[in-house]
Amino acid sequence: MNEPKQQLVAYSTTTDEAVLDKLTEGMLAALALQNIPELNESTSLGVDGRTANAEALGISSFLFKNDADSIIVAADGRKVEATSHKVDSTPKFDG
Amino acid sequence: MAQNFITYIKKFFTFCLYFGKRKKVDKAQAKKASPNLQLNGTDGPLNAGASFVRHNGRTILVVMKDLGDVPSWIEYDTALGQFSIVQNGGSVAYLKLFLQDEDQIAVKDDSRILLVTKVQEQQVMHHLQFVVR
Repeated sequence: MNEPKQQLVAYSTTTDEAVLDKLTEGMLAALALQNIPELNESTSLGVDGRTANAEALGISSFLFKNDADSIIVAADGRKVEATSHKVDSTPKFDG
Repeated sequence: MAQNFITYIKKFFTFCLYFGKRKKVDKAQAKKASPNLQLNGTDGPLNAGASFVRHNGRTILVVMKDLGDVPSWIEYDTALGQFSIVQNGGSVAYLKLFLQDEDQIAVKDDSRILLVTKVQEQQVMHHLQFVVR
């Protein structure tokens, strides 16, 4: 049985969708890395398996909060679901 | 008398042995021989795109910038809403990112953070100590 996919809320310092796309890629790769407890220092991230990572983690999209705007980026990188829109309840970010 | 003479002779030979053949090293040459190994870390506010997320107990900070030095540990100041990325060489990069209350409470128990940075065209992940105050 497939688990319902979830939208992760992330904080961001930018509203640039190209940068957000790269940030999403990095976050998914980091979340998908299985041997984190064994890591002592640093490792190079393989960011190619973005769709597979999103599928395995059950993440459909990221809701990036930035200042008064929020942007949704699809986790599989195929499309941006929505352009920025106003979120009144979000506090002021200084990023 | 003879003992003094022998002492002078010994001093003379010692001078010849250690100082007579000493090479004079040019300052520029000496600088070249010992290259500056100090890494140029990032100090002050970060203007690069960055993002913070928590998922299944993992805390991740992604910064699209090459810091120039190896990050050592990260601190989050809840009052200032600011991450401090401390690097091995002593540089400290600041990132303003104000977390909402529920996330501030959640990160208080975190002791480790995953920092993803961009190094050339690669993304590198660092598993670092995380302090929240």
